[in-house]
Amino acid sequence: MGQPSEHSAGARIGQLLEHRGDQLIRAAIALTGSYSDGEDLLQAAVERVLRHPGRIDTDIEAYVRRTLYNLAADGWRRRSSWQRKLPLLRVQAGASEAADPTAGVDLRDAMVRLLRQLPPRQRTVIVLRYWEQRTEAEIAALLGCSQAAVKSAAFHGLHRLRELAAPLLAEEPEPLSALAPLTKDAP
Amino acid sequence: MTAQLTELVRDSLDHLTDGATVPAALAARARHRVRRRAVIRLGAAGTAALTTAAVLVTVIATGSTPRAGEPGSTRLTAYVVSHASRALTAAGQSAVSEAWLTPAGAAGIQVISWSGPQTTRTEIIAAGKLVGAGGYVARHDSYDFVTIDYRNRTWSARQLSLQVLRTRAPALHAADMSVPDDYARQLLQASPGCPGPGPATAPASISWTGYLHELLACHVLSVAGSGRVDGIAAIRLATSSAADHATVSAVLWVSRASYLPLRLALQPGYQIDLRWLPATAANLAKTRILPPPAGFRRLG
Repeated sequence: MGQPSEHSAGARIGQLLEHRGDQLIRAAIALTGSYSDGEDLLQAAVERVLRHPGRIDTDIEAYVRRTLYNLAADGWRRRSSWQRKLPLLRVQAGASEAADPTAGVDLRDAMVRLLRQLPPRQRTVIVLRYWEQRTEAEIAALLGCSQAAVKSAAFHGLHRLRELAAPLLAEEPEPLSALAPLTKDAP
Repeated sequence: MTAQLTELVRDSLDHLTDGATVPAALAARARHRVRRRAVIRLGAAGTAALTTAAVLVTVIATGSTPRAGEPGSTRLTAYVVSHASRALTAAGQSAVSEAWLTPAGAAGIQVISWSGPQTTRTEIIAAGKLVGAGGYVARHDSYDFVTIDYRNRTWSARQLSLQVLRTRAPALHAADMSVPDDYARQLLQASPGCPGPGPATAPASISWTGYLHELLACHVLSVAGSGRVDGIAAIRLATSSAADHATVSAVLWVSRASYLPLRLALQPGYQIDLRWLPATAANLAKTRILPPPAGFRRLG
């Protein structure tokens, strides 16, 4: 059997996006934190799949998803240090505004901004673990890393998120030790 | 508490993604871009095969780039510069550039510009807050500029001809830093083979992409080594001895894979980090300046 051509891969991708595109774009948005970045991430994943049609296995959605998650976990766009720091400054400013009860607090928007501050791998693991409800074993298989690495990323990601969210939730972050038991009992 | 936090994460992401639908043209756009890249690769491979071999011999066999003045260095510089120019031309037509400008000696200030084929938008951030924004739309022989001052809650709109822009009169507002400024021009004007002072003839030179074109075209840079820029393998081009009398020096890093510029450092002056984004609708939207907020006073 010959390898699939870019043409046949393109047709399969077209069908996939027609039937499952909305689920994929939602995953991409969750991974990036905005619609525009999610659209760019999904397009980048599709392009990568199209460039290597021979690697597509029987389940094209699983392959596109794997590509999507790995692009997100690898930082997808290489960012300069300034690009990494700038959202931090913006969110800190936003967080203090959000703490003002008269400013119309929207915890959900604030949480999305905080998620974007996490390093790409931690953010990806948090999204897969707590939004897509995947097990650590599944995430490890998807990202091509060990379960210990997934556990560590989830642990540190949650702790960082708790620190960042403390002003919004009006409480002190728990110490690392308080979180540890909860990160060990993955289903 | 952890359960509350993860529930909040879940709820936030549900809210963020609720009702999102995939753009109908996404698959077609991706196919088009993949085909285009394939064509570019084939063309580049065909026309540059011999030169590539020469460069590979130079870079791989010796393990380093030739020193300035050696026969190989001129050929290598010509190869890299021609590929960088070609990559810039292609990117100017089909990509959006994102430039992060860090002024020297102005801690906490960051200028970000997004440029498409006809439009550019710039934001100035000081201490994490948006303090200014600007942008322009290219017309036939002029540019429509809009600048917004968030601190003073004012904005202005002007139409400037290319000649006025090149002669820097009147002085541009800070938010017009999307346009190459005196430091950048000084380098070109002081270097043999570069455009001298006076009215411009190339409309492209108003943009950073156009400026880089000019910089590459006037042979002021030569290959001076290699390294990595934000993890990307890159070739280092630096101002050559011919430009030593200039008071401004430059180092340009281009990607070893795509030959697109990644970083330009002007001494004295600033550093610009460049990213090249696909021309998706979302990215093109970043290049268009937003209308001034309601309640802002118009100055001119």
